[in-house]
Amino acid sequence: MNNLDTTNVWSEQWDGTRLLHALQAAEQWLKQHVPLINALNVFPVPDGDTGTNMYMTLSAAVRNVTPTTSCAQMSEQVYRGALMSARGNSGVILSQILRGLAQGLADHDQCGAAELAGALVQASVTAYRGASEPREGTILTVIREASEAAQTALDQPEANLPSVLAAAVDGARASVERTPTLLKVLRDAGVVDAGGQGLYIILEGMLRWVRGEVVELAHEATITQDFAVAFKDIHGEDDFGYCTNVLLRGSHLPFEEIRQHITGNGTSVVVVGDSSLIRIHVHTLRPGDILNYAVQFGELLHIEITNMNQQRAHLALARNGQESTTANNVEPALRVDTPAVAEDDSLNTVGLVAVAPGDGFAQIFRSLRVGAIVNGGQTMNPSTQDLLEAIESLPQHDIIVLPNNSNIIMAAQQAAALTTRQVQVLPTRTVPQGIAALIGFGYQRDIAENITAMQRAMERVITAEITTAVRDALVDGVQVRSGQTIAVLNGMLIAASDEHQQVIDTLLERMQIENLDIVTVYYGAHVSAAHGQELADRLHQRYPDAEIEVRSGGQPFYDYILSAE
Amino acid sequence: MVKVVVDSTADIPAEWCEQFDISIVPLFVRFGEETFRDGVDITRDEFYTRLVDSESMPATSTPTPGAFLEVYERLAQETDAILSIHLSGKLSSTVEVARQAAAMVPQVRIEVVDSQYIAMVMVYMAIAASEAARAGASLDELVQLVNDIRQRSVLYVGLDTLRYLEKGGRIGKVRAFLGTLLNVKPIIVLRDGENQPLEQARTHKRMLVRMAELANAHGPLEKLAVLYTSKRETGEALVDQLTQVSHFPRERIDVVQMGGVIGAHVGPGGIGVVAIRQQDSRSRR
Repeated sequence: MNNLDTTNVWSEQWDGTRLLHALQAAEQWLKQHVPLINALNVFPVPDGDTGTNMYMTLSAAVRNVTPTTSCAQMSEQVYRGALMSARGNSGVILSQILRGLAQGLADHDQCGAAELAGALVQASVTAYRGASEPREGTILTVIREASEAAQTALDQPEANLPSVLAAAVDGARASVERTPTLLKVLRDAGVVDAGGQGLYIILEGMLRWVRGEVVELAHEATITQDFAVAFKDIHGEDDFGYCTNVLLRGSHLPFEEIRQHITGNGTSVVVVGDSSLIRIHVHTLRPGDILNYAVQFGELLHIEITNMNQQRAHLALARNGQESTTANNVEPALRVDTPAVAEDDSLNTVGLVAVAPGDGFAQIFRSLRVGAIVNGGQTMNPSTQDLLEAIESLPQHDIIVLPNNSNIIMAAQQAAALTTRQVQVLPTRTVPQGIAALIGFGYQRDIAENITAMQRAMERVITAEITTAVRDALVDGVQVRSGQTIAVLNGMLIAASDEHQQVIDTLLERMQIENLDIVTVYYGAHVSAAHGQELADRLHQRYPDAEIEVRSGGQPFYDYILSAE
Repeated sequence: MVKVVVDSTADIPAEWCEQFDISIVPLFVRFGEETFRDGVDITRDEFYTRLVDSESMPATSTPTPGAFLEVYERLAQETDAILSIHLSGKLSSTVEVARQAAAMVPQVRIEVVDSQYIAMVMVYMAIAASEAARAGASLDELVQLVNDIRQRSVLYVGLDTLRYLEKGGRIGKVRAFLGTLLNVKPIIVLRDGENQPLEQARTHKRMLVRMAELANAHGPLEKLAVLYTSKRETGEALVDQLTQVSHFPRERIDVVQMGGVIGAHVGPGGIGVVAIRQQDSRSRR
């Protein structure tokens, strides 16, 4: 590559392939900056980091595209991908920026200086339009000022694509530097806006590609942990008997016991899942025994039994070239599909989706008739696609989504816009808000009435969180050192100390529990039930009039999440 | 003059029975080997003491056809028309037994009515019917009157626990509330003659608030009653809530203890509210 020759034709005029390469270079550049962007997080709590979210959004968007020389078609594909992969609020806004780019390039197979400047302006307009309450000092300001800089550069004599892009990068950098003057939280924390920084890095990555400074576009394979087991991965030619697949749902399923029993009663055993949902795969001569065993623990959501002797014959045929069948599409001997939601769920005319950061919360949500759980939350923000799949897995037409985290609300809204179902996102910012909303859910009410009632129920609840600071910070007037125990009350940091006990005491005082009826303690994945009970006992001693409940939330990083009303 | 009969699940206060000349046919409650006629052989307070202490759940059963026959035949000596009002056929086959018995007394016209409700709704139906009968209304007019009250009735039940409804086999659609991992209080509505899940409340206190709001939402009200099981103070607390949210005069709220058959399913600590809407201008026209 001729690295520094900016007059090269391919750097002045992009086709679809070059546009993709520029975006892939941006993805790589962003990847290198993820830790830096994550460090710009204002709040010293472990949560869905902006750098990670933006990277995961862009990364998925620039893969799985069909090669095309048309910029219009390429940008459209990238935007569609980003729409589905968007995670966190910054990821959602990034997907809107990519959407604007696609709108700007809609009529252009080729992209030169004027097209790029125009597309950036459209990106800014679309991103602002997508935000319900656009705030200055964020990624929105940065895309706007970058596009303005690009426009100015276009008016210069001899403007070309590199000069316009370079101006956009400069504009973005200057804009990022100004974000603390626009947002007090940034000023107090002494940082620039993380989302804005991410966008600047993306633009810079594209510029570096134009200048030939980034050459490594190789993608390492992504490893996705799939719950389902691919049939071909575990089936050999010598297998015989019946390949039996069962999806078992229940509460408090004895996972280890079930796994051991199945292992002792067949071959090629795969048992995965948790205490509420278990997928069983086993080769056995007596499939009925497996079903009878499993059904005593709960409900069999999916049953599939394949005669492998038959299947081997198919494989042999395939090998002989007589039939192009694979092990994957052998017709099962028996397939029973019960709807994902049990029969009496027909009571809910309104379906429920909730994001749960932990197994305990997932079980509680299921017990409150949530039909689809999306794993995730504070530390792992689910993508639009994850939320969309959950929505579409439900049998109901009318669906309420509970994001249970402020950084998941936008992705949930985006998912709602992508389905033909009637979806309402109730903007629950914490898990206790989500649980309170669900308790306010009425079986005889339609979606609009439920939203009203659930909103009221959600507003009554107080959320308190105990966690460990992941960085030094000055937030809400509290000086925090990394590693200290911190307490967050309704989103406000109220206490930080090396003394765990002291933080809890301060928190309890501030919660004014004496005026409340019920406090629920949800202890985290790394806290023992005994410790959870200990906290509850102390609460009970101090506030004998309040009802106290202790439950396992199973959330990572947060020792305790307290709900009070 | 038409005579009025109800079964014991109306839980009609004794003084009204006499005042309005209403006959009662009791259902049965059985604790182990001991069988009691509901409201006859066991007082309500005795029943709840046993319910809380007993290791096994009480079983309930319909009156015998003979018990109906006895009442109908006695009344047949005084009248040629009887209105027999019973609890929802979806909750009990009492109304079927009554129909069988009625067919055996051809000398008198008996209208057996499925109230689609329980408790005070049946009482309000019976009292209105009795008063109208005294004013000379015909049996057909009384049936209409009862149907009209049915249309204007609402009944909510708040439970302390689902255990009794479940063990008693009357959980029906309310099973939707089973298995909730938090300690929440279910609120049930009796609609179309059966228990249906309505919503849940986080605490007992909030449950009372919600039940008062739910009942008041049907206002203006003609009748308002609070039903309690084991704890009178729970009933009084609901009266307090109702007085706070509605203009309905406190002294006109009927506070009634649920009897054995209903109480066996609602369980200790359970609470109910019955409201009859005023006839609105549309139905008067």
